Amino acid sequence: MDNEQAKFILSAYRPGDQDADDPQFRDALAQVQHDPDLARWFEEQRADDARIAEKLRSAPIPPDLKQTILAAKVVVTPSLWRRRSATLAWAACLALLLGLGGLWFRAHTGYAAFHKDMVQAVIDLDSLDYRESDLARIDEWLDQRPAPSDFEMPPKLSALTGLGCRVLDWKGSKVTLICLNDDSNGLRDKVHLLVIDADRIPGSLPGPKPRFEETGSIATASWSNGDHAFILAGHRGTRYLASYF
Amino acid sequence: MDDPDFEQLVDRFYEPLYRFALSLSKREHEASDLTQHTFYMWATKGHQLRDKSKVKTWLFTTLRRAFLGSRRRESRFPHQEFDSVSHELPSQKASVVNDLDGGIVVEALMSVDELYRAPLTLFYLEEHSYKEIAELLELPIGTVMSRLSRGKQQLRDLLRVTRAGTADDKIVPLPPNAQPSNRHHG
Repeated sequence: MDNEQAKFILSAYRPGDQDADDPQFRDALAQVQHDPDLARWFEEQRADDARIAEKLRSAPIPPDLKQTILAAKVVVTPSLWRRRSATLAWAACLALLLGLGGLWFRAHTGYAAFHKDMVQAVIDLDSLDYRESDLARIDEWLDQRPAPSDFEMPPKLSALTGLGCRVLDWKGSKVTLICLNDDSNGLRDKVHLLVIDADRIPGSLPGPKPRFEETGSIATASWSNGDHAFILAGHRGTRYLASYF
Repeated sequence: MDDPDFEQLVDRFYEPLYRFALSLSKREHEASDLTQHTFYMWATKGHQLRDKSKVKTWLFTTLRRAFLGSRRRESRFPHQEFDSVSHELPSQKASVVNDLDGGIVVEALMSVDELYRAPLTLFYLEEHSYKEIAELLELPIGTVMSRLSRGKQQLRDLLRVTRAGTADDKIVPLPPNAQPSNRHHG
């Protein structure tokens, strides 16, 4: 590890001693002990960081903010309590209905329904709302629309060029579809990335590791990252899709 | 009291949450709204959080999502932008960071590129480790480190400019009758 690498790592070391036991910093801190120049830099850095942190903490807060927050809680609580009481009273009756209804609901609104509808959307796709090869411009375009845009693509996907994008509607929620062009291996194939806010889909979602499926001629990889649920869809089979992860 | 933890949570987190919100939104009234909204969400949905050790991350994540949501709505229905903070914060400049008013440091922090601002604010609030910042902002750890490193450099540059501004302030302006005239004589 050279000094530049040590400085890079130590930039994340908080001015207090909260991070002293974090093994990530061990080597860089050890280097500080042996290099006077680095030690001087680190000392100055921490002193500056401590001053900035202190200044940030001393910046004024609206004097009535805390009272406003607490006052809002008074309004929220009774209605919540009434709802809870009512829920308890009717819980036994509702349990049966919910059990039956839940099965129907998930079949029609859960992840399986989303996956099925998105596969169909890819099959039916006949036009794009915005044609653009630059993914940054596609992102800007999406930013201006009520569709998911603040998500991170897997690095191999973000290295592709775009063909464009479209905003779909799924049961009242917006879905971003980005069409990507992969000519890196001479195959000139298209893949489609579909993204929806994760909280729009009731029930369980695929985890962070992609789940591969084939539905007719469409292969999909599905995953989620907390905020968003993703489907990558293409025509060349799951093995081909797996190469993007 | 049916939920004694609420007041403790407000006590513990409303200030750092407000400061984080201010760094994101750059507007005091929006920062207040975001902070209130975050606690409102906690009051109505907080019971769904199973792992109570994640309360802090939940609050900051909720606030950030609310901000991103409002920003998306604003881009559809933009209202007139104005830099209210620059008027609200003190304009006094000092020669070293140590003497700078907290408001000026916040002002400089809000001038840092948006990419770096959120991780940098979370870092200086000292509530979160870089790992927690990575989780909260849904970024790889290496990216957080890189943004912290570059963001700090940018913040220091901005503070240096502020310090240099002090020298400009000391330049004695010319009296009005010595200023070059733009009037054309016919």
